[in-house]
Amino acid sequence: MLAKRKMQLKELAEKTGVSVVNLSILKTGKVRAVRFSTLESICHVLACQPGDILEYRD
Amino acid sequence: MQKRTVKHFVAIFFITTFVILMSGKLLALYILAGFNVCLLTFNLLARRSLAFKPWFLSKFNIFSAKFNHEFEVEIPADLAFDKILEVVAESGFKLAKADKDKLEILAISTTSWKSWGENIYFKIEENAGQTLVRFDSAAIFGMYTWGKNEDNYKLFFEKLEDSFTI
Repeated sequence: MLAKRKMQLKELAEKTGVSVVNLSILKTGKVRAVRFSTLESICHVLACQPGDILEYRD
Repeated sequence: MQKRTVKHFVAIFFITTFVILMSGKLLALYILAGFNVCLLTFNLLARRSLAFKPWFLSKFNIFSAKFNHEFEVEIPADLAFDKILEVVAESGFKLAKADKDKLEILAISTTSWKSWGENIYFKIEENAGQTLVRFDSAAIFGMYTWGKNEDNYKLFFEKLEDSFTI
């Protein structure tokens, strides 16, 4: 989604208020949980749905 | 480790008392007080430098009570370094030094009326795909910390665990 929106992680961090470190960890899939408020702000900034940034892997 | 520290404390207390009583002079007391003041001053001056890490963590430095623990984090070492810097700030510790090349961090706990504070060292190592963090907490001046070193670890680890919920 970041590539589609031509946005860098730093810019996303500034717009969502989530630190770059936390977004990097989110990208690696190593977070324990994501708050709805965080998900909402990311979706708002990227203008997308939660399903566009979350993927279930078996 | 704590039992050994208490033994040291008790042993030195009794030896000192014995020397003072046997000498019947105040000279021994002055020497002891002077030694303590010099050591405390040196430690307070040296605490903010990573170069003195071996001094504070040396097992021969019995005047600084120590605690260490090693744990694994599931993120790469460079990310773990940045994460720990964040968590240190959230834990109320003061960042003193951070060396990204060596992946070492030095933080200090706050000084209060009942404590000179502790030095908290982090060393991040990547080994066979695992990221290991070594946590060391050492008292600035004190052979026994009444669990403050352990409390520092508990506080830090709780904040670290919480920080993985974003």
